Amino acid sequence: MASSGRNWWWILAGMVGTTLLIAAVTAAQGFGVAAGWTVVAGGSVGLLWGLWGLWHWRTQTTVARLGSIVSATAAAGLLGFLLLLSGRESGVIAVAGVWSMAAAMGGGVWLLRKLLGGRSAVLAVARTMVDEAIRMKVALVCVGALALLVPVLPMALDKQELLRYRIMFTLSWSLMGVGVILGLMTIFLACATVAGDLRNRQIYLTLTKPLGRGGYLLGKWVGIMALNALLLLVTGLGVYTFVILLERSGTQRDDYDLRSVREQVLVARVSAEAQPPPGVDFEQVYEQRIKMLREEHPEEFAQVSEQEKQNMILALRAAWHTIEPQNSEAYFFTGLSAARGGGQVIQLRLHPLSTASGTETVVQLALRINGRVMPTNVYRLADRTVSLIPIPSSLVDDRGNLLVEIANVDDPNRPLTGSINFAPGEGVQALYRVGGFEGNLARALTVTWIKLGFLAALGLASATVLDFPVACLLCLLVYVGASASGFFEQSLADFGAKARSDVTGWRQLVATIYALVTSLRDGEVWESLKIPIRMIGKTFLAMVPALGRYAVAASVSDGQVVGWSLLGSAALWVGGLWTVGCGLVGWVLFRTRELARVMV
Amino acid sequence: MAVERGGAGAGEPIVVCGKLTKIFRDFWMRNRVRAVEDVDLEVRRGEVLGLLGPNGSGKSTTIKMILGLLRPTSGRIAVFGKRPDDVAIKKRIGYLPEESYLYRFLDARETLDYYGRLFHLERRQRMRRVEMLLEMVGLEAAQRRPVGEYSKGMQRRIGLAQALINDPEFLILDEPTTGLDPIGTRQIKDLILELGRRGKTVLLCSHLLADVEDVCDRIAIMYGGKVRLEGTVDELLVRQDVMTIQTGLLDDRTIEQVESVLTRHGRSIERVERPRQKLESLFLEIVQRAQAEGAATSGARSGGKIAEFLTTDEQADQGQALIDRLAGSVEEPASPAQEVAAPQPQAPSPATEVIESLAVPKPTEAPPRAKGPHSPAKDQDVDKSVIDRLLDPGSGPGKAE
Repeated sequence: MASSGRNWWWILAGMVGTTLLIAAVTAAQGFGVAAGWTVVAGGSVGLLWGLWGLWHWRTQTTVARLGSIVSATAAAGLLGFLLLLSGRESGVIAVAGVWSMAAAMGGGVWLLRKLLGGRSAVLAVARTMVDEAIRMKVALVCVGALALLVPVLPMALDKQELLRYRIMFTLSWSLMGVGVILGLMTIFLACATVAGDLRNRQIYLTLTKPLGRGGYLLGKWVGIMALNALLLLVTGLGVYTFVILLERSGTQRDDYDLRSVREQVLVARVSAEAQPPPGVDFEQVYEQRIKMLREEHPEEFAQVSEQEKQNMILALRAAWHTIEPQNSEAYFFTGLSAARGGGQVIQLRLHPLSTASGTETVVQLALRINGRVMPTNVYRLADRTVSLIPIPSSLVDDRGNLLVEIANVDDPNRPLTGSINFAPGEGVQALYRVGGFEGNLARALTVTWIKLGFLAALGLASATVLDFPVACLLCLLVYVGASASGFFEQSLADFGAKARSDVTGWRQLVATIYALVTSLRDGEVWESLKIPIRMIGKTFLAMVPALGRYAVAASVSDGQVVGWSLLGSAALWVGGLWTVGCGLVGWVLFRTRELARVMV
Repeated sequence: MAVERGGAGAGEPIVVCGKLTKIFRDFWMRNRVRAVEDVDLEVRRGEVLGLLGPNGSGKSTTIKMILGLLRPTSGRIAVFGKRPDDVAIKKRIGYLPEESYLYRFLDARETLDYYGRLFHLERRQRMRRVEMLLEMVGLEAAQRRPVGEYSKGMQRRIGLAQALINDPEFLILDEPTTGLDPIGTRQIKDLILELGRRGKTVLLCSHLLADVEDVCDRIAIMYGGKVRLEGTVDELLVRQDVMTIQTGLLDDRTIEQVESVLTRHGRSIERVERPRQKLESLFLEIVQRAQAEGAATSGARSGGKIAEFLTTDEQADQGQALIDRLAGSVEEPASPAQEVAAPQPQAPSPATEVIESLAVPKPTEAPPRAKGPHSPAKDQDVDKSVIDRLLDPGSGPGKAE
């Protein structure tokens, strides 16, 4: 039967070859029409023969697999054809994209299995892990979601929108979606495979072979991470392809729109945060103010706690980020030598936290840069929306410094609009290009892969001692906590008053207990509850990696560089410390547990 | 790796359990189940040891401790002189658990390939063994179907194949015939006998007494977590007061002659009967006939011959071929059987064994012997001179006592 199947294949190949040969010879003789008819006739016979063979030999694994590929391709082609007839070209591109990504993933899995095909026991476990992921449908659902998300998302966006926003949206949601989908897949796979092996006792067979428990866990981790690498590679290529297709689709609103895509989004830019101008030191300003206050109110300001001092300095910084009408503030940027050398445009990035008139306001800003007055212009600033003002890099001085003075001036044609309040830290930044989009995307995907490595190690370690549902819940809790660590830290900082901020260690503990008792005595039950909640929250955050610091989707979509330093930091802390740490804990737990259960 | 029966090291213990106790405790560390208690057990190189006992007697727990899947609460275990959780000793062990805990998503070929890779087998050798084992367990036709679709018996077959992929020195079989049809059961028994002949050590755990009796050299019976009785099959089962003689069909006159001989020795014939064919034999005959007629089946086929690498010394085989090539031998390549015979010491033939057993006193712990109603060794193991002496007391080398 198998040999007959092979004959069918060779006959098909012979038909195609002969048809092409006859058509080529005929065409060379100048009989174009005859060549065309030869292709049609030979192609039809070959098609019928091929379809017959696919049906007839469908019991053979290879033929069945080939039949599936042919069926999926034909279905995609038919759908694309129907979309084309109905005038939805973007739909055709999306279908082609879905098919291409599915094909790439299928081919990639085949290649991956070959790469993991050595005689090493660890690689054997890894390859079986890949098989399990694909055949038990856990990963297949995620692969399907990725294959749909990446091509369909950019094509589904409204073409009336600015191209820049569409590309930013595509990048942001694709990368975030890929991170979340693969994160969930990694957790489910890691927990399911070890917990399943223990529950279904496949572990009896695997670990009675010459493979240590560490090797077993390592093999599982390698398998999951190899699959993650493949999926990230394919989705990364998909994201890149569709973003470039969008950029070149000719659907930009105007030239400025296209230029802003190329200069602000599909780049890797470094940002420099604004510092107070030379000679301004908020510490000194505070000292002067407090001296004045003590002179005026000697009893009231005799004792100022460290917390009060910090609050006053923060207030001074906030005032520095606020520009009142008819007023100006100076912002100083350093380390811009690299930008100066490139002869490029530096972007002044303004991010107002709030404007005077609510959601949107129009202001007129006058700029003076390193002493040179720039043309006054009108800018429309909206709450929490970024605006960019181009500045020639030639204005950067020899030491790489840039002093920007921003004045909130009256617009003669409009009423006074009020003050502008920039977000502290990132509210005023100078951006300049240091690299291309491709490298930035690659680094971002690598950081994502490193984070997935931690999740895989965490899932495997949890499942060595916990059942699947409990291990999954634990991992999801850590994943959410770690990803939103920055937000939680900020929330906890604002959640209830600290007992004492000027002491640490056991003194802090005593102070906390004292505060708790005091609150209860005063009948402030809710306030007293906040203290242990805050302690638990802070303890939890101390026990999970700050994955939020490595949120790269926003950086890539905003055209900001995902630098080598961030990548190195992720590799060192998330990869080197947390992943290895989790792996070691999992290995120790696994070594100490008995693999068999009571069976008497 | 293979050790010839009776060769160097034969009889030395490869598993030693001393005062082995396993108590399963609950969360509060209260003793919940005392599964194994003060078990002293030895498995000696080259023997087939049957571990018998009813359900819950502690057989599987003992095996899991030997394999390092459980840790003893007290007592000690040494396997090949090392701790049971030592990874190095696992290379020498094959294990078939009480159920086939296989990955449902892998097909038979992938399953064997996976376990072969866990033993670091080189690809070509792995492929060769996979082919042989698939043929041996009769799953060639179903090799591309996921194991999850297999019947229980088919899963047992593939489970057995994975236990043999490394040509183990020490094979642990936990209820190996559970779920198997008579063909598979017979094949497993033949396999154990063959492995025993090759000097492999087998620990057979079962509550099917007939299986154990057919193939084991020594038996340990467990109950309530303790070993209640231990000894060789002959020691435990041979009745010293009765003897059965099997011969061809005799006419009444010959029977009378035999009776008169017995009468002279103060004995009489208690029963004369024509033994019935065993149902197992009848069943196997019918199945073989159906297969010869080409009847189709979607399940497992009758297993083929025992995989070649289990019946020959593969490494020696390959080594000899290499030496021949290096020496530039111009001789025709020998047949596989000849290749095996050359480098290996020849195992004593069953006939030689009989002569030797007559010539020398039987040791207290006899070297392991092939048994079983279908074993060729068993057939040739019958000492026909006893019949001759009964029919004609004057002939033969000695007198019957």
